[in-house]
Amino acid sequence: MSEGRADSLEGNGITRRVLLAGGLGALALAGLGLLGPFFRLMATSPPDGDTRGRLKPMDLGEASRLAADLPPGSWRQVPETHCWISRDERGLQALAGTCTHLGCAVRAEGSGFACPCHASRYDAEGRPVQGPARIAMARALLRLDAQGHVWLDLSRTVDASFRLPL
Amino acid sequence: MRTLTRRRGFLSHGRPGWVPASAARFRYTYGLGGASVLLFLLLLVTGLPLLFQYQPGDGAYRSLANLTYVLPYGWLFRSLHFWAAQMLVVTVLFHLLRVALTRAFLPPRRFNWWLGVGLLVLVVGLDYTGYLLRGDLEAVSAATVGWSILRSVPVVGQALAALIFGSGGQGALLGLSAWHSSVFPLAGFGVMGWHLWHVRRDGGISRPAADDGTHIPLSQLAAREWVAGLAVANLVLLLALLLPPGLGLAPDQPSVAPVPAPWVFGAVQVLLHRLSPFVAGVAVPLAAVLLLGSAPYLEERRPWLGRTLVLAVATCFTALTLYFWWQV
Repeated sequence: MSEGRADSLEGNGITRRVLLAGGLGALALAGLGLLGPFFRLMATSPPDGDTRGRLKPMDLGEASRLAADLPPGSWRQVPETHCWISRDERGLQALAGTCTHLGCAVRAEGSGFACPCHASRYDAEGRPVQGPARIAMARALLRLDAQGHVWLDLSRTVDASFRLPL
Repeated sequence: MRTLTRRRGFLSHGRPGWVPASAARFRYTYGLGGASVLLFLLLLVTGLPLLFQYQPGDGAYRSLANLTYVLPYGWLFRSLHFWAAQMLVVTVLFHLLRVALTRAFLPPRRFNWWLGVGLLVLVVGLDYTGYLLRGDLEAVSAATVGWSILRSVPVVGQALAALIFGSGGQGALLGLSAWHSSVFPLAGFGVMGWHLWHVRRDGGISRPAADDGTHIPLSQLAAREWVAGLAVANLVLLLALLLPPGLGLAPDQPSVAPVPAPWVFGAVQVLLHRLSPFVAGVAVPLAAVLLLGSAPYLEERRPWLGRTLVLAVATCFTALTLYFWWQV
């Protein structure tokens, strides 16, 4: 009805245009501000997610029994992991059986390992010999605790010369 | 004239009252756009019962095994969904080729061509995420490869991988299920509606140069579409009944044989054998999409260049896919 109402609210100089623009600006700011939290929520898994569970150190059993079961020089897959362990005269080592090309789980083939995804091949020491992979597979850390149990820690990598003396 | 332009109900108001007889000939369009719409709707309908039984996350493989081998008719809906999806990829690719070869991507239809290229990307995204939802060994490998490829993108790679796959691991299936069953279908439905509306806005579908000026009424077009639609639906049903998709090894089992990519991504898998992950998985596909997008511009400069380019992209894709099949 009145002209004053069309131009400003309550006569305090705020026009409809300013109010709408302000409201829109505030919404846009809030939207922008929510982008960060939105992204963080998207990229976070629940605290008991399977990813973390799998990277917890694993108990491989008593060192003496492990040594008795493992003939020197051959690899054996650790159950429920993509990790292989073997023993030689210097001790025990663990190979993370993940292809260094794009991360698929490798399988034992012949005397070495083969990746099922893009046909990379590795020798028995995890060094690439064929296919797109260029980097040797990682070694995982092995630890001996006070009770004589061997622990496999897939979250820590070590270099190829690492051995856990038995 | 009155019978030609009569409207019947809401659905026909999105349709023209009559169409040029030359444009409505089956051998001009092969009904590929219409088939794609039908297949997309079939996918929405058959995806719904799957959504009620599928359990994303750690239980994905088990729930899909139940759906496939235990629950009554679960295999049927899964099979229908699978075959409609395979056919949709084929129909949208041939639709793209048809539009390019009949030069229907020139103005005023250039923007609609881009919408179409966007829909192609969405279909490929739906195909990939749908394959990953199986949660079997092949799917886990495909997810691992996709995740590594995304992370190979400079600067934003980590963020991209986190956006699509979440924090990784089995939990990634939660996010992938959200992408596959809500974000992509909603976007696809919206852009498809926009695409169809644009066809009418741009003056209906293109018509061949040899146009004799005669028209057919919508009723006649609709009758032909019924026949074509029935043929497509029956083909999906036949394939679904005869060749239901199985399920691979459980994700925690060691692989016993090479893991092939789903066929749509066979071309990329071939390239990944030889090129760096970023080039094979990101740069080449992106370049292909950009080339497709630029085709109308090139066609305006040289009256054969755009078409030839689209044909070249399609030929490369087909050659790589055939090589992939031959290898497997």
